[in-house]
Amino acid sequence: MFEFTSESMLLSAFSDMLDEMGITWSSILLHLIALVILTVGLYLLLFKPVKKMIRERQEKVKKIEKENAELNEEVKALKNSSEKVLADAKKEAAAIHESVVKVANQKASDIVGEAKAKAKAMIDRTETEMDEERKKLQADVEKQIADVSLVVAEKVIGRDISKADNHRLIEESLKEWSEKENG
Amino acid sequence: MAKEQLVAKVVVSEKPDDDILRMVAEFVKKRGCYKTEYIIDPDILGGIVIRIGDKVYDGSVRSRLETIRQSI
Repeated sequence: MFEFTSESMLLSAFSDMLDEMGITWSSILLHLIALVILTVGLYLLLFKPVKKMIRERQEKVKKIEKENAELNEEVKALKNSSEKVLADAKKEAAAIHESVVKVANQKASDIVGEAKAKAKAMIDRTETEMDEERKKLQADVEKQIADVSLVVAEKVIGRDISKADNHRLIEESLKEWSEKENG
Repeated sequence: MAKEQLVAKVVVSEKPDDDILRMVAEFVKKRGCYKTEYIIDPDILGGIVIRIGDKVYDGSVRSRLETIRQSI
C-alpha cells in the first residue's frame, strides 16, 4: 500500500512536472505516433536505399574482387607463360649460340685448313722453284767451271803443246781412223 | 762427183812436216781422194781435221776439249 502510494505519488509528481512543462499525455502520444511515422519513413526513405546502396557496393566490391582474382589468375598465367616463353627463348638462344659456335668453329677450321693447304702449296712450290733454281745455278756454275777450265786448258795446251806432241796426235788420229774403218 | 775430183781439206795448227804430209796423203788416197788442200788454223790448238766430201775426221785438240766440256 505504501509502495502503491509512493508510485502514485511519483506518477502524480511526474504528471505535475509534465503539466508544468506544458506536456500532455496526448502530446506524448502524438509524438510517439510521429516518432513511429518518422522511423518508418526513415526506414523506407533512407535506411532501405542506403542498405540497397551498401549491398550494391558490396556486390560491386565482390565483383571487383572477383575481377581482381581473375586478373591475378590471368597475370599469374601470363607470368607462367612469359616464364615459359623466356625459358624457351633462353633454350633457343642457347641452341642458336651452340649452333653459331659450331658453325664458327667449323668455318675457322675450314679457314685454317685452307690456309694450311695454301701455305703447304706455297712451300712446295717455293721448294720446287728453289730446287729448280739451285739445279740451274749448279748447272750454270758447272758450265762456267767447265768453260773456265777449258779456257785455261786451251791456254795451257796452246802454249805448251810441242811439235812432237802435235806430230804424235796427228799420227794417232790417222791410225785410229784407219783401224776403225778397217775393222 | 768422181773420186779423182775429190779434194781433201786438211786443217792443222801449224805447217806440217814431210812425215805428216806423207801419212795424210796415204790416208786420203785410201779413201779415194788424190788432191789435198791444207789450211793452217792455230785455233784448233793441235791435231788434225780432214774433210773428204761430206765426211769429217776431227782429231783436233779443240774438238777433244769440246768433248770433255760436253761430258762435264
